[in-house]
Amino acid sequence: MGYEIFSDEWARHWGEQVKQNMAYRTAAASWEWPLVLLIERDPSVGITEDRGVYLDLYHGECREARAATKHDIEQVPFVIQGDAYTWVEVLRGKLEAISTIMRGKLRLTKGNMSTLAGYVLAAQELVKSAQGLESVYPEGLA
Amino acid sequence: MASAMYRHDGFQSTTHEGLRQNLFPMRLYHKAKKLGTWDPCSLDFGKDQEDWKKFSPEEQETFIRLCSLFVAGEESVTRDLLPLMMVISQEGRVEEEMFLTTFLWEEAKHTEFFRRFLDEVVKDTSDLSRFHSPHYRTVFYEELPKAMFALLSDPSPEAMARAAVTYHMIVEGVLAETGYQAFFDVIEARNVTPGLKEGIGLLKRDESRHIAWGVYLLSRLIAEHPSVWDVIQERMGELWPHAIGVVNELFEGKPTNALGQSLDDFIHYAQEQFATRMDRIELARNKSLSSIEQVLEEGV
Repeated sequence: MGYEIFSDEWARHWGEQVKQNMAYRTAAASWEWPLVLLIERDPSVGITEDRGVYLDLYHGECREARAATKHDIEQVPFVIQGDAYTWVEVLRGKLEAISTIMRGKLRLTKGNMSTLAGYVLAAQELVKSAQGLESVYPEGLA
Repeated sequence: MASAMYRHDGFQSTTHEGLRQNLFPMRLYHKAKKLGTWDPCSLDFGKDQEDWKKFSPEEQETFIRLCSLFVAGEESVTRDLLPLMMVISQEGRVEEEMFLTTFLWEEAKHTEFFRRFLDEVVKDTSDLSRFHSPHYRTVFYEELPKAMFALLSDPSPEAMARAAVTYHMIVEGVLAETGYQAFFDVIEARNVTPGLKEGIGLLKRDESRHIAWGVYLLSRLIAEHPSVWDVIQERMGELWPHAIGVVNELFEGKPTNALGQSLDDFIHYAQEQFATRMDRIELARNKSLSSIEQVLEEGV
């Protein structure tokens, strides 16, 4: 059974995948900041409001993963956001994650790019964990 | 390859087709003839030698470190381009091959330029490979030659794409261009080493043509073989950790180096340039090459 991307259930399953990802654990050993990944509202594909995933990542551990609240978005030091089409392409492996961030198709709207740049492998492993999920994509992008 | 391949059935330049002057690589070739003929030996390093003596030991160390990365990088792109040229030649793309003759010559001159600065200004003949950090070694000692020389046995579009991503998008487009721009900005702001500054300015202009051809090559490959897009994405994913790693190693965990260069500026500039080029390449996903030639022309 799959879960709709960026839903609370999907986020929690993603967190479980991250916990089992040893390559992530190694690559993110010194990362210690929670972050929110945001998919932007797009009624044309059935996303009627912005949806975020909150990941509490600390020294290689995923301590919590769930749907993000507005409070999370205000509080976390890093927010990466993009449109539904781009996120789906990344999750399907049609767009490489770091290239997509470097191109600004996924935008770092909060946080320092130089800090993030030190964790390229960790970011790639996070995406790999998400790609391992059974995902349900928005209508129109399925 | 069978020896029967080593013969020509005719020559394009004697057919009705002649040389296709409107092809993008041919336009780059004409630009190279006008702009790429500078001589590293004619640059005046007199003021550079005076300035060098006034630099602090930390500044000198950073200069030498940067030059050691640049000179080896230029030597590497000089030594590793030939397999790609051979594939282009074997495919009978004479206009592209003509441009590549300027390309290789220019890379050789860039190597000469940095070595001359080290010999006549820095006067350092020690083994500078001590500055070549682990990620730098992965890119320039391993990934670049491996991707380029793989073409000798596998000239497929996929192998070409892997080579072009490595050479043009990452080595030239991210590392070299960003490094040169940052170095140029510092030298200009401090009004020092005018010979070095002039050479880097000329070299940057050469590199912009090389990268433009790389963008053309990748666009052509995608237009002709749409599945190449996935190969490009995969190769980017393999190289990003090392490319960003080279930059991080250069700054050693600090926000600025002894010359006042900023890691943020490095990353920001690399992002801008990379985004522009990838946007152009992505255009080829659903278009014919002829329809994107105009877009590429505007980018030179």
